[in-house]
Amino acid sequence: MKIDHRLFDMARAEPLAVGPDVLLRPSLFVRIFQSLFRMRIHKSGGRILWLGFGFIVFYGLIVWKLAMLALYPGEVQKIAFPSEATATARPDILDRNGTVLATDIKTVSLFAEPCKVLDADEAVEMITAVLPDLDPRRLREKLASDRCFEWIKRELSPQKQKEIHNLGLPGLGFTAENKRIYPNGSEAAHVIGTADIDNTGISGIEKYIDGQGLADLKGAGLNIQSDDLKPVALSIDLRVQHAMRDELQKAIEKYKARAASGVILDATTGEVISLVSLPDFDPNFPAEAQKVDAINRIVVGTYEMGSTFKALTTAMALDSGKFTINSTLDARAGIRYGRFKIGDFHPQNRILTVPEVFIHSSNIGSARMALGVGIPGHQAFLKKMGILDRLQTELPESAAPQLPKRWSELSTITIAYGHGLAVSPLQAVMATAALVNGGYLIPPTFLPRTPEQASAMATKVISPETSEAIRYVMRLNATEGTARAAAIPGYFVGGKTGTADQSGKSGYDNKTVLTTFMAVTPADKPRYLLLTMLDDPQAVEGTYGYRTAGQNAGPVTGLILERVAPLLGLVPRSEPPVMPFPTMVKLGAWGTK
Amino acid sequence: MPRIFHLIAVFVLVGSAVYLYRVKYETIYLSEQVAKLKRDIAREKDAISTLHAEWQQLNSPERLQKLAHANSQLTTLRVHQIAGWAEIPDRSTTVDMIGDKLLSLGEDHPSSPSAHSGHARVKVPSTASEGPSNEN
Repeated sequence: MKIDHRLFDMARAEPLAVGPDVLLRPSLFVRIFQSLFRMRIHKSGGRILWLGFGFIVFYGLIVWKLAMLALYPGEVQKIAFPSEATATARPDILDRNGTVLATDIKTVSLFAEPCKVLDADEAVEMITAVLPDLDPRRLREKLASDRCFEWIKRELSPQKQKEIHNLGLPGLGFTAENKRIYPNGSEAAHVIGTADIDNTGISGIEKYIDGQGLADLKGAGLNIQSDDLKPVALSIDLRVQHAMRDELQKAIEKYKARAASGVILDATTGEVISLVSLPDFDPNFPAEAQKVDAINRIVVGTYEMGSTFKALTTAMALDSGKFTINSTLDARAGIRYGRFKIGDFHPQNRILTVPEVFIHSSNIGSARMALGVGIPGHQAFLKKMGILDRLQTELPESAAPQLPKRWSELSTITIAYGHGLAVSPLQAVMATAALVNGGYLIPPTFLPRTPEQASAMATKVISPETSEAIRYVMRLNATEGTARAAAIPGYFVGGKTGTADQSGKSGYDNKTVLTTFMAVTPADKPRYLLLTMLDDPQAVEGTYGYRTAGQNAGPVTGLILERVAPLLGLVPRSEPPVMPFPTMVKLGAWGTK
Repeated sequence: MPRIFHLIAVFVLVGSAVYLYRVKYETIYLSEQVAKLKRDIAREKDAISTLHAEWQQLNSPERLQKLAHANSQLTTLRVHQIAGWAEIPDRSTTVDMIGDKLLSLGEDHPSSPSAHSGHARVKVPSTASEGPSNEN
């Protein structure tokens, strides 16, 4: 007790011995706080050791866990997200006014991971209950395989997706895919083309888009989103396209034709405003496009264009300098060539001037013009007009013209009036556009093109005077000749009919014909060229027993023109233009007086 | 003096830890929001493109033509129906047939206010202008 007391005293007394320091003694709280941070080697040594030990344990645990994760990754629960769209996005296709022609929508597709399917039989039963159109046997084969990916059904409806999801089967998954939609159905199907279920373009502009780098991007494994892609605008005008298709459909019914097709070309830029080829197909069902009948007759078909070719012959004759608009040609009797005799359908049996040859569609006169120019001149001219070579456009499909095997004098005679040389109608339209637009050959396009771009790529093929002469004779033909049926008042239409016998198995027969009509409007300052073709039209009520172009293709062209001209922004003029053909008047051409 | 520094260091350490914690969780929260918004935007975009396709399907010329034929008397536009500005006649002067008839019958022209009750409307402007005088 005593010692304790003494100790206590000592402890108590010690500070007292310090004397005056007692006044500076800090309060109890401050002392405790200070002792926390008191750095004394004999005290801190142990603490640092403990701390170090703690850290080693802590980091050791982390390293251990990392090592375990690296060694046994299977233990980790992997969360699977559906990958973004397997069928990759494609750019929208618009018409020249921005109307949607083709677009992507998202659909959901069902896939299976057969290696994870527990009971294939049960799964087959349950899936076929929801999707009765699946073949159970094939489905079982798929699910029983040990592969890890199989498509079960592409493009499910949201309702079916929900039902499948509610089955709760393991090993099934959904993935979002892009599906190509053509909201206008068959409209402009031949231009747009189609895409398959993997959203790869297989024809038309769709294939062209893939060729422009989209396929490369996909190949590189890039996941393309639809908003990364700029829409592709076409030169097609959907409204015009529909009007033309509708009228041609009516024409097929009325004239009991096998097929009908038509094209409208902007003669100043080479843009194709509308292209119809009937019968056509619905690109929403790509299999339909495989029908033999559904070919693009304007681009892929080749035809002997008949009398519409006489515009080319006339231009060649005038541009060669060997003929003028006032030259006369002897059409009193047919031309004999070997066992062939070339005659006229509407024989005049007299001497004709160049405009008369055109409006009476005289084969004899045209043949004499071509013979006057000669075979080399004829070939060179057609070559220059792009008639003898394959015409390439944005569309992957094209056809080479069918030339005579040996170009004899007889070939020149027949080609002068459109037989013996089969070309694609678009080619003929391109050449005719050059004849009327002042002499500039512009390759046709399905994409928008400005007049500046067009003139940059145009080649001058004939003189402006010859071009005026062609416009003059085409206009004359619409007032005096066979093209009257298409001469809608106010639009100053010019035109040329063509009725060609189709070649059958044993050469030409006159059982089936191909009637064509080439119209230009307005003829004084051409803007649009319109070609209508009817395959095998019949003489029906109202055609006076004829099946020539003037009785069918002509009136059809008139109906189309009347319907589409307001859409194309053509304003009907109540007064005919003043002095539309000054050079022809100066030369005193037949019909100007 | 060093103790003050220690003190400050401790507060800064604790403070920054708290701050870091908060920032980290805020970031996680925000990036979740971003992901959610992105998903929503993608869904909306899909919906928009589907609606665009549907709109065009409903507006396809073929369908419109069928509807127009079934539900209206309109026929295809003919060229003679289009006229230029010059061909539109001037507005004709309105003919007051009843007034003319009254004149020809020798009736008083509605100049006297008490003539007919039917002329009350003509009268209104004159009386109305008298009515609310500038008393206020």
